[in-house]
Amino acid sequence: MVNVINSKKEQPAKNQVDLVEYLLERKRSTLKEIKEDFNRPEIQEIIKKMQLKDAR
Amino acid sequence: MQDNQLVYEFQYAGGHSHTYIFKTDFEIFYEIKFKEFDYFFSETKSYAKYTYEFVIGVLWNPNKKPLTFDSKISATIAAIVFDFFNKIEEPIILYICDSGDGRQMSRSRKFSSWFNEFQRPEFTKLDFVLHDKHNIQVPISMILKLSNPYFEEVIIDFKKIISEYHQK
Repeated sequence: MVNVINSKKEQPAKNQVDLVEYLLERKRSTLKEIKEDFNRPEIQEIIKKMQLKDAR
Repeated sequence: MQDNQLVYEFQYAGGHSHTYIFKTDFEIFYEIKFKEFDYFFSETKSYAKYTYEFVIGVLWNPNKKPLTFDSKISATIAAIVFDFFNKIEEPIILYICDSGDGRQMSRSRKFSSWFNEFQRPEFTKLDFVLHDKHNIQVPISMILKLSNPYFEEVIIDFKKIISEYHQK
């Protein structure tokens, strides 16, 4: 039984629709995180290093 | 693997989600995450804590270039997955194909083609198709090593989770 996490607590998914909705929501949230990572200083640093390496 | 001309150089940024970054020849930056998914299997299972969701997304596309086919991306993803398997003890990887834009089956075929192209004999992949509330297919795949000490249990459990939901 997969535990579906909502904002307050973990609840077991009741059926396949529940499970799929949860999996898709989780996936979309991670894709959003990836976009937001762009603003993280440590990620910016990696991006800059990669760009500098290419410029050389 | 990183010195191979057919593979983009990648950086491990670490973090809770085991983040990797690479940049293509078209100046598109991709990020790959292996996000902990320890509650996919029952937390009482020893292998639950080794379960991760694999997610790839565009981190930055400064010139708004189209995301065209690039064989080096596939090779780089394979290199990153192998690197992750070397870093983490016996991981179990789940890949869910997003159905938001209706291209989930195409993503699934691409993922399978990628796996077949770069497969090493020590890995196996299981595929299932779930259905959402609109009866739209949502493919899910699991990759693990044949040498995983919980291999049989994981396979049975994965099939059980999927079939349990099919029955409801």
